[in-house]
Amino acid sequence: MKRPTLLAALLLASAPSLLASGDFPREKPNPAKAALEGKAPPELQVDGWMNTGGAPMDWASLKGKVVVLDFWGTW
Amino acid sequence: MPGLKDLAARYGDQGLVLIGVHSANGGEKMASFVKEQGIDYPVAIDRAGKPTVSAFAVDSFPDYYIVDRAGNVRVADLPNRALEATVQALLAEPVPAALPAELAEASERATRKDKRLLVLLGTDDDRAAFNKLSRLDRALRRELSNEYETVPAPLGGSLAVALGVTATEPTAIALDAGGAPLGSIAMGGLDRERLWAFAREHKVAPGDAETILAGALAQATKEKKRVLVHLGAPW
Repeated sequence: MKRPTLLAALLLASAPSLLASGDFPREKPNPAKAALEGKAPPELQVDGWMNTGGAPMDWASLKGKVVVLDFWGTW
Repeated sequence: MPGLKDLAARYGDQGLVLIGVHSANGGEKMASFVKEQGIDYPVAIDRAGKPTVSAFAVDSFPDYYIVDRAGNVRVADLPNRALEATVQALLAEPVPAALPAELAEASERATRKDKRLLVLLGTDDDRAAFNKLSRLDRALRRELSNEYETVPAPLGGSLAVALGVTATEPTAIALDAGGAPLGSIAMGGLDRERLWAFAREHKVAPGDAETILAGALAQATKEKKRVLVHLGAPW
């Protein structure tokens, strides 16, 4: 009986810390990408905004939001 | 893309924003595609020369980057299968308190120069005594001016209240560039050694040279460039 209890306690103890450390999976190891993490993102040097009411978006106005940046193409 | 539209719709009210950056290649086809597919989240096109793709070290399409509520890149880049779980975990994090207006300018400077903030709560006399101490020797003065943007404020004033400081004695508070408090120290009776230790403890940790070099080498290899190492100092 002792073992499962201990195991469960260990699992419970480690689960929140895993979440707290923000240990999310990466697509593949890439030092150039890793160097971006933990910092403010580079400026969006883009044109032709759509779905913003014509205004460009910048990082300052997105504070407090969770932003998914999708680099994509139509080919 | 339909998956992303769905993600934006389901988590938008919790604070998720999706932004699509279209490759500069074929950029002219974006507008019609977006209309055809009914994509309703913000999209834009990288400029000629791919400055945004380069800055983010994008190496395949699609690449997903996620920025947390504090405004920092959290994961670069995410596998597709982990997108929703990561979004959920980051949405569950608390929204950082808004930056007090008194810190706005100093925060902008500190962010740009990779420095921290030092709020000196007290009277002008208290600050004069603090400045006298910090100018006692060159090394300490340099440490403070190279690592910190200083902001004066009265005890019990609006900034003290915004920072949740109830101290009635003159106090120096170190904050990160975004305004999150890191530590404080009483200014009364402060000596050189304790101020030095305080300044050292809360300054921005130096970047790891090997990590920085590895990132630059990877980027240079991808772009068929070379790396120029400049050994310098911020002053």
